[in-house]
Amino acid sequence: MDWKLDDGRPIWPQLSQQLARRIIAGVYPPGSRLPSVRELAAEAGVNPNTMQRALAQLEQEGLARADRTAGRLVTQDAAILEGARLREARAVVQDYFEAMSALGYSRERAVELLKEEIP
Amino acid sequence: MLFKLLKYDFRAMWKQFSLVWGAALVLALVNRFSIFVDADDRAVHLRNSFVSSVPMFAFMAVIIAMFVIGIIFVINRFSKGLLGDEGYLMHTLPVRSWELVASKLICGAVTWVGCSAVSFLSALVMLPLNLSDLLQVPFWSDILRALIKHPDMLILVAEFLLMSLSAMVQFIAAIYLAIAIGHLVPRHRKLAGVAAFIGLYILLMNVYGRVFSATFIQRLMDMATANAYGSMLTASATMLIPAALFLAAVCWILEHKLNLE
Amino acid sequence: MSDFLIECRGLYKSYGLRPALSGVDLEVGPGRIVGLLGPNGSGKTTLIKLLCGLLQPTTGWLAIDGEAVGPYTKSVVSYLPDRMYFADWMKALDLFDLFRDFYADFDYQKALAMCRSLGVEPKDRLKSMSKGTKEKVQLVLVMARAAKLYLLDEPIAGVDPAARDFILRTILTNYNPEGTVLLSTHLISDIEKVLDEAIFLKEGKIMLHATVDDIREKEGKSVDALFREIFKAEPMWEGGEDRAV
Repeated sequence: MDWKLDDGRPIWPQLSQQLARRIIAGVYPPGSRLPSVRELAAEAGVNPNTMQRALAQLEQEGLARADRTAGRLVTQDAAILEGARLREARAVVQDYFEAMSALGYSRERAVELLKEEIP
Repeated sequence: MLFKLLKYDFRAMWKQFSLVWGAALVLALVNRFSIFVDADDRAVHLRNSFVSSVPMFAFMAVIIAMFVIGIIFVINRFSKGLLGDEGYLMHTLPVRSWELVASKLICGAVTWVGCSAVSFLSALVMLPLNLSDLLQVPFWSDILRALIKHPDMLILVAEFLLMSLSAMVQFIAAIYLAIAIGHLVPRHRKLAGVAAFIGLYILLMNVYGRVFSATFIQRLMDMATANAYGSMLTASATMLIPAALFLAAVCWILEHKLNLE
Repeated sequence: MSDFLIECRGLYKSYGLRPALSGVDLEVGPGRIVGLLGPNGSGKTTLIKLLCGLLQPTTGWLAIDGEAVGPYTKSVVSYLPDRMYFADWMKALDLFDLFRDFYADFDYQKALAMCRSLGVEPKDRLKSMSKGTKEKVQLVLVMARAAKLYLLDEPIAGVDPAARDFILRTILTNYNPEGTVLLSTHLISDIEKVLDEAIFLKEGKIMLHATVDDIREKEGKSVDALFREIFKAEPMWEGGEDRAV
């Protein structure tokens, strides 16, 4: 999974969103230890302070928690994980509608097109 | 920190001069055998002039080159080493400006002393001395006895060396200050440096001329007849005082006016 | 002692009559990666040289870690100049020796390891090295120190992509967390993600000093895009001074 960063938006929310997606996708499984700030920053090629801020955001959302000895652990709370998954899914849906609207499709038409994809 | 600086300055000096000094000594040795022929009867004869002239010419060239390189070395180590690109390294080292200057000065003076020593040594090497003559005990014991009889000779020699050294330090200090002044000028720095050097010596001569009035000189001469030690020490001092002032000015410029653009 | 690692007040520097810096006030804290951005001739190099003591300010003062520039500040500043600064007769190893002698924070083993990863043979004479290799040696010297302040003058301008990657990775992983990196460049898009703060320098004055995230949030565009707008389209753009902070 590569890190993709857009211009025109602050970097840290993009990082925290992508970290959240990795957690949801199981790249970092529940209860596992997240790589250190430095490792993550070097991997993404970003400033460690920025990565730190993204991780703080994850903690605030409850997706990760600081551990005194082991750095940061991914949450094992299924409700939080499920909530995050749903939020990301909604974001994907919204992106879909936006893209369709740019092509001139109404929401209803977009939903119909989607249904046609399911046999 | 000064010792660490000296370590690197001397290393740079050795890289440049080991070859020149070696060449001078080797050529002197060649001359020893091309000029003089050791005959069986332990007498030495001069060889014919053609065979000896080529190595002699090479030897003279090397000695002259050595002194020219010596002067260029002192100029370059200061102008390029402190005020050129290498200055980017030297001036970002955690040392004081005076340490940088002292290191260059000591290394430069030692280089010149080394050049003088090598030319003196090579002259000795060229002489048709026999090793067995040199190792004879009576020869050395005579010298030793003479010294014990006149121990002041050693002091005079030491004072003479001090005087020569003072003249050298003054000369180097004037070179450094001239380069540093040239550095203050935005353009034509080399030209400004040369002009500053000439100006410094004119100034120095003027000051000397004023301080050493005829009566003062006369008194000094009287003192010299009465006490040769004192006069040479005074001469050293008259050279070292302006040298110290020059060096202080150099340090001040490096500390407060450095502009490596 | 102040909380700032770099503090400049009313810094003014002129070469002859031409001002290179005209009234710079600047504060930079510890542990930051700061981009000093501006076109050529905007005063980036002048500011960096003032900070490492190669130039003296015409007026104004500056302090590093609470002290005026001197042996102490030089012992905590690691400076990468925009040119080659060593004598040709040396080997890279001789330079490592020199740095170990003078800088207590120089890590000899780290320097050797960096040489290995950059493909530089430290036993080679500098004279026989290519320009790019010499630049790598200089970079190794600078980054193998655990300094408080790294001053990098155009570190990524002339190097090949591998070295550029290495430089950015080295800055990110090797600099010590208390240390601040101040790097000047005009190639912003390459380094934007790495920066905490950006300083826009124009004609010797600071036009803008803000965090990258703030710039992106406020302007809705990348620092690179903002930079192009300010510096490239400048004659067409009225009221540009309003954006200066």
